[in-house]
Amino acid sequence: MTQARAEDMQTAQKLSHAKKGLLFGVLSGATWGLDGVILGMALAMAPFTDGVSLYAGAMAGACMHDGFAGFWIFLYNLFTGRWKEYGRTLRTRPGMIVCIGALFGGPIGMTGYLLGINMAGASYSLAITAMYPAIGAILAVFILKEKITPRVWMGIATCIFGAIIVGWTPPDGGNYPNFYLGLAFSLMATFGWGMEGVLSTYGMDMADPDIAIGIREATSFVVYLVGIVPIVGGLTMFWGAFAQNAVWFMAAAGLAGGFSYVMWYRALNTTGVGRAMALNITYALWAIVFGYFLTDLQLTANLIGGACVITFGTILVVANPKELLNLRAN
Amino acid sequence: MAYTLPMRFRILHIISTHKDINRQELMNALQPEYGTEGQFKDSLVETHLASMRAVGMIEDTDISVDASNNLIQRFKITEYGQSRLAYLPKSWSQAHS
Repeated sequence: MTQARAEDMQTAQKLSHAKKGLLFGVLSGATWGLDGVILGMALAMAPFTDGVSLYAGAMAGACMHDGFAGFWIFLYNLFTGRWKEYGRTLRTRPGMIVCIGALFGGPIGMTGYLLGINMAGASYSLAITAMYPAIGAILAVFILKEKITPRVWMGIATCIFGAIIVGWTPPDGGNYPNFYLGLAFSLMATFGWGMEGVLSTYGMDMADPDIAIGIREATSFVVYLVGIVPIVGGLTMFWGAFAQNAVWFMAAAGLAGGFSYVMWYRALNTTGVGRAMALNITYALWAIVFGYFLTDLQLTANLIGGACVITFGTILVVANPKELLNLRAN
Repeated sequence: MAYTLPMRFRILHIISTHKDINRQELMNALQPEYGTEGQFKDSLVETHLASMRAVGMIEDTDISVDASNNLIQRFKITEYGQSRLAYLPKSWSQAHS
């Protein structure tokens, strides 16, 4: 009787852990959607609109966003008594793996994404990069031996399809002399984001997810600031933003983004790469909700149809938390 | 001078040095190194254990309920978890051997 009671309590505890992971995933998508809306408002303000080059505003903005996100996450870790874990984690190989993941997800992913849009047009680039959860899930099956059921695969595919519908705009017929190179850069971004999820999840087997994401944001910020923003001529814009109202919007976007990333890394660690990424991409749905209330976003058939498809895909992904009791086939 | 490992990594290492161990025994073993830090909390250690079990680095050896109706679980490291100890920094391993 006592043994049966113990087993019931343990199953309840494991299920509670799994359900928390799913909640983290949904929260990561919701706050990423909010982050995108606020970031969009910030990038529409001076100095980010004073185009020095095509990429200066976007890269300076991405740098500032990751810097603020890293700062807020550091404050959170400071107040929860974990600031010493930064140095400790960076001295281990799993910590370095998290840093490499940051390079894949931040500078490599974002640079590929922007170059893809520029060279191949938004339609094709957005459709390709929306597939990052599938790439992440495939990599997770091979590298982490993650177990993903056919229903969850279907859910991942459905969420991706919904995100493509939401972001889809008909090809503009523009002249893209480097079209195929643009597709290659879009694939690079897709691979980068998928790889980030797998590498960081691998590192987080031995590192606290809240510290891993703090390291990720700091690494991304430093690489942007030192290696990318100067190349695209965005340094003046970056420093100039601190004297403008845009800085407050960036700080708010960084807060939403930091919270979203904390939730995402916890979800990766708790529910696995495939499910966490499928739930993360629901940001496309949440961006519609927040965009409707915070901006003058007009609801179109694409947006509503895509949102319904994403919701259906999410239900497929989260349907049976009991599958999460053992994530991998080690 | 030997440095301190990230707490999750240290938890895995401590479990590897015991045939099996419960959370309270683990907290006692962590106390000298992490006892003064804000992260030294039952709830956080429990979260680390739950995550490590879900990814297959540790597994249960025994479960029971104590007189206060608390679930007591004992854990041991798995072969997969053992393989991850290869990432222990050499200088740390030498200082603790």
